Amino acid sequence: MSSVATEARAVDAPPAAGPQRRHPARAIGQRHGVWIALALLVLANVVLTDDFLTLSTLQVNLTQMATIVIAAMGMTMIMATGGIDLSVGSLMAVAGAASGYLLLSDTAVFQSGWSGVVLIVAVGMLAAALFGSFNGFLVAHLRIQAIVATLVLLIAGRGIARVMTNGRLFTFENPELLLLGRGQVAGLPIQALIMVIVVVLTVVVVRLTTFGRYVIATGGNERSAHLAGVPVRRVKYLVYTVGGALAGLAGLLSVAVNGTVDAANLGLGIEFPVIAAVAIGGTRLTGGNARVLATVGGAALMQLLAYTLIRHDIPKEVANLVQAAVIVAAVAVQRRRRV
Amino acid sequence: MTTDDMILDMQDIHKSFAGVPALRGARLRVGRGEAHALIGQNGAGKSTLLKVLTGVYSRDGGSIRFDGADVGFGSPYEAQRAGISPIYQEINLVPQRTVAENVFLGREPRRLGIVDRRRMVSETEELLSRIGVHVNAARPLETFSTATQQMVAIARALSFDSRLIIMDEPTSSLHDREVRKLFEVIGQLTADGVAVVFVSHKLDELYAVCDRITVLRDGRTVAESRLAEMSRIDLVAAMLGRDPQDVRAAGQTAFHREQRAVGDPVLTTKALSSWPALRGATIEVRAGEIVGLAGLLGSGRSELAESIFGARKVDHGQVTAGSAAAAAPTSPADAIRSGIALTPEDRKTEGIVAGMSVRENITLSLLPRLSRFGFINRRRERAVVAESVRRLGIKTASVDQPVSDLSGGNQQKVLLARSLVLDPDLLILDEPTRGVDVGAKAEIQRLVSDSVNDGRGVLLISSEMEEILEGSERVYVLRDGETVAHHQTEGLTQDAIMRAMASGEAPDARPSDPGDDLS
Repeated sequence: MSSVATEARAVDAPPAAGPQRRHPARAIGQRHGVWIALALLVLANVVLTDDFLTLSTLQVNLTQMATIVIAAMGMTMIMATGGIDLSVGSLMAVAGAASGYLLLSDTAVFQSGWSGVVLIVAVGMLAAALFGSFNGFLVAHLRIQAIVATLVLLIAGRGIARVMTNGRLFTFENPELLLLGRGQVAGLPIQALIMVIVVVLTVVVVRLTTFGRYVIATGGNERSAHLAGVPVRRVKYLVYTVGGALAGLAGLLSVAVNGTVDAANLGLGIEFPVIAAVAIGGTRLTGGNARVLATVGGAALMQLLAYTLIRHDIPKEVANLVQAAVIVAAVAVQRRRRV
Repeated sequence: MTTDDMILDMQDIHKSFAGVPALRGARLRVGRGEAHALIGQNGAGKSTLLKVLTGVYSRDGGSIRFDGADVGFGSPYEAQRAGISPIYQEINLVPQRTVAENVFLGREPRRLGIVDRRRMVSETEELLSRIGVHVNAARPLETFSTATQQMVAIARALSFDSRLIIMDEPTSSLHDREVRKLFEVIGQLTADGVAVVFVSHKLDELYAVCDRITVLRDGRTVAESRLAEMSRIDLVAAMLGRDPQDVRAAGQTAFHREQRAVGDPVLTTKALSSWPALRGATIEVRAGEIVGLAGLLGSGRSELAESIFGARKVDHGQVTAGSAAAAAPTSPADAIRSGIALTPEDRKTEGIVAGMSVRENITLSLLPRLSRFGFINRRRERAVVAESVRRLGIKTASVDQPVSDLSGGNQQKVLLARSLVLDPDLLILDEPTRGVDVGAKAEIQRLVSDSVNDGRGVLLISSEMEEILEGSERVYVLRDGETVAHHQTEGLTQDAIMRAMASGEAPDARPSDPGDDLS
């Protein structure tokens, strides 16, 4: 099997007893490789790292993961259609800049209080969704290759965000917004809880809705999907729009964590860990499957790897090499078998 | 003709892909300065044979002599240097560069190490005027028509001193006037001693330009003749593997017939055209009947199906199809909503979504009706799928098995199920039994007969004479995108259909209107 398990299948049905063309170990590696690697790494840390099994370890790692995972949920759906969004980091900056507009205004509602936070988040996500829909327009309607189309906003998006903030970095005091980034509920960071909600919603969309099915079909065989009545253009347009909105949410959380709006650096370079998480999770770049939970596993693996290397004082340069090796290994294990 | 008169002599060529033979003893012999037609059905091995010749594929067995020497080209580049130039349907030149740059691509004339543009342009214009084309060679290629671009490709071939030019369906996107021009050029080439291998499915064209013909079927050369000595009907018969004298023998297929009341039209097309494939297709299908659509490869059968289904742009003409004879659909989704279902010709590239399960493939078109507020009703989905799998006898370990694990016949049934669960008014089946084994074929034929009912009409497209004759009640024959014949199949012979496919002439050639008594 071509690691075709959309996760839906892995859950609601046992692996089919079809013609076995794979080595069993390989099949397990393809399907659960991320989780096995993650489990091994946790185990190694339990043995090797002092004070590993503590709440603060969990908090640190979840906090580091949250924005990446949220952005990676949109990316998983985009890549499931056979596309990619390089502009994700710039869209985060756009959302941050839009929220900065509101935070800098004299209106009292944006200085404190939850209603203001809701508005700020909504406006930021909407702005990023708008930019995402531009990506969707280029890819779905003008049929420009995704990697080129989204390059446009990777470059221009950040420029627009910087113009929106007059190239300034500024801090803010809105206590509720800061709480969103730094607060905890039952010992867990609020942003981690938001991440969980986003992941659950994505799983629901991919597994239970017509739209989710259309996403997989579009990436699996666009011509077949089109002839079967799938509105492939609209589907592509929508995944980039949703991807933009989620990038926006990630951007706002970053703003809340830092207490600053810095359009020049917000989300800078995040496309690499985001795309890596999706790829390590086993969603193919050519589309046709969406391994949502495995994307979360991929992000967790990369984060824990970084954490482990830092805790053991391994130089950053070496750490990058190790991370690269993990990506290569993950993609090699999961690479598509011939159908 | 002796062997020495042959510029090309390919004998007993064998080639298999992953154990599946594509060529098994093919022969192609082309004389010097001869225009040679190469013809065969889909999968007969034409392109494989030509790719073996031009070094794209290596052969498993057989011999190739070119210009009196044994050869075996390792790459298209070697073949081209030896004097064999292919000109493909999709012209493989660089549209943004000038005509001259395209002709001399990779071998630009230089002076002191710098490309000599002036010489390049003048030599190109000279080459082109040799074949009667006068253009400014300093202009970008993309500013010229497809026909002129093709001439540039020919000029490039001549600049290599080619002695054999392969033209693969060169006329498929040309207008009539351009086709005549191309034929003049071919006449000039052959007069200059350049041989041309001409691949086309349009018999008129073959007879207009070619001296001799090679017919391939199932990877073998089944006929080789001077074209003047081979009638069209013999040619079609050789291609299809039929004896033209064959009187129809009943019971070769698993179709069955019942008397059904024929109802209102579920499909009407009037003088439908969609350039370049369709030039006036007129057909009608009524509820309660299976109508066959026959025609050679390239006659526009699939294009007609796509036009009806909203998957292809219609230039002129009318389509009314589906429930309440609605207006022409604008997209496949629109077509499905108005009660039309299509099972496409190419199972792998247009049919199944290989990464999805049997269940997901069956319900792909039905999802809008299976869901509320965008959520799929999983219980109903499973019920629909279970019913389909049972009724169509789809052999699968589980409905959640990836569809790519199934045999070709079962994949085809999955596609049939995808159409049938829609309960369409008009069901279009494009080659429903292609590439499936004998058992599955019979089962699918039975299902096709079962699928027609009082409220539904079926349009059955097939290359197999038996399927058309036994599966359908009436048949339309397409030729070069036009409806050229219309018959009741009762008592009809293969000969009559093949004649219509070959030349548009049939014993009772005038297309009759099936609906006179009802309209």
